[in-house]
Amino acid sequence: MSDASDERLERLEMLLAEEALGQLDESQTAELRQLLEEFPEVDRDSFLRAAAAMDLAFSQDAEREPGLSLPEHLKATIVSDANRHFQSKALANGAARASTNGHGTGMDAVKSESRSWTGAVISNKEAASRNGHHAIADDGAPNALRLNVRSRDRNFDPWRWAGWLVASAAILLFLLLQFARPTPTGSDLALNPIAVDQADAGPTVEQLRQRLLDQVGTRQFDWTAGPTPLESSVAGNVIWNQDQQEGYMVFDGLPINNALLEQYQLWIIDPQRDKHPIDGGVFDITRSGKVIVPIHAKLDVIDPQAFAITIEKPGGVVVSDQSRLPLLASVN
Amino acid sequence: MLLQRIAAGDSTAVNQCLEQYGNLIWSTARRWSATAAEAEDAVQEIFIDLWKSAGRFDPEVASETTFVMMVARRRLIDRRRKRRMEVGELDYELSQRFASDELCPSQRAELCEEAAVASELLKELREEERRVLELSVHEGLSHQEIACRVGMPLGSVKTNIRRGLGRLRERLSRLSLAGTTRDQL
Repeated sequence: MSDASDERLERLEMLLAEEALGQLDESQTAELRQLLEEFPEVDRDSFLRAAAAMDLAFSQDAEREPGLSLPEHLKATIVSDANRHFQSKALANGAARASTNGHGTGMDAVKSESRSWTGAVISNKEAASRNGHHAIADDGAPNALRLNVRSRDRNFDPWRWAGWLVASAAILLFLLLQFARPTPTGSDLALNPIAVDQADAGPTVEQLRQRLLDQVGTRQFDWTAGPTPLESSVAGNVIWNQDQQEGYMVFDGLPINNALLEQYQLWIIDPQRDKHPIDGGVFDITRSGKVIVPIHAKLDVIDPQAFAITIEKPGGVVVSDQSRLPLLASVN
Repeated sequence: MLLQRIAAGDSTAVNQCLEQYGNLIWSTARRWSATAAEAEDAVQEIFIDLWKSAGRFDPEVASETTFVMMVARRRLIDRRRKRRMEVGELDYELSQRFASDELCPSQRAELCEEAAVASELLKELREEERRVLELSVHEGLSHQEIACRVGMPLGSVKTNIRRGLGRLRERLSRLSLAGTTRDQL
């Protein structure tokens, strides 16, 4: 390794030590992010682990005064939060299990799950009104315009496409198998339309995104055209923080959709989690230009390999047929 | 292990987790927070982080106690950074004790392996080096605050802290390597 490289590695280790102590400022945080990308082999948690071990050693000092006891009312709140976590996880896993059943039983499983989601299942019309989309003509007939995607390139080489993904051919195979399955009709999967803007007081989506971007561990991946790109080009990116399980999508130029006809749906490809992509929820684009959309994954993400946007019927689907997949962001 | 049960969806492990780590997390949050209310918010967030990240716990990499402390510290550091961004640097005294705080009998629980290594290293340090590390790692003071408190130049504070943490990091990595080698034999 060259002297310059040694210096940069030393700088990285210094910043990691400071980060483990909570002493980084914004510019150092940005510098740390760059250095971590330059030296991906460095265990970025090693200093945090050392600080944690040292903190434990100080905490265990026998000469120290008696410790503090967790307040009882706080215990109750924590247990309540935990129950909510397990419930939402069970619901999400139930949906995933429903989608893994064979085609013959899949619809029964989905319908069975949907009955247990009283209140969570919403109609297409309600989805449209929640998203604030009002593209209904005076006579009540919905706007007939649909998003146009280019037809799949006959010369499209899925193996070349797979080169976008870090993973092996196994991931491509899983993708092709997943998306090639016939889409069950009438999916009753619970919907979680993602608000494009926050109307209430408090931090804006842009501020929340910036906060996440400032945190170590947040990575950014640019959108590229999928196998069925839109007629106009779309720029933007996805940011994702694995530890926070939080992310935001930025789109610049994504066409406005008619939520009564179709919605965008996010998928997170995570083979370690499941052979099926994680449903990231449906969302609408209600204005032109740059928009920011928070990510609400239905399941915990373990090791994302790619983020994909499909265009689906209102309310989304449990399994996409991939017939319209305009955007992909691969995790490098 | 509790976290593996949590990751598997065993909700009965929650109360055991609270029993095992509740006081540790609460004490840590109190040290890093200006008020008891702030500490309560922090603890709530830490446990949510713990439920979400339980599936990522790997006993080959760290003990469960160390993992829990890492999750706690990460959240507390993030909260502090957000607070600084919102209101600027705060000059408040940390480690405050309020009358409402309930004390529990000193619980000298068995040291996890990493904490034992850290404890041995701390014994090898001079008192002032140890004190600087305690103020930084355990109390969460900034380098400047420590320099003022102990009357040491800022540069020396930073050097002491980084050297101490670096030495421990190295020892822990040797520990981890030794464990891997043992497993392979």
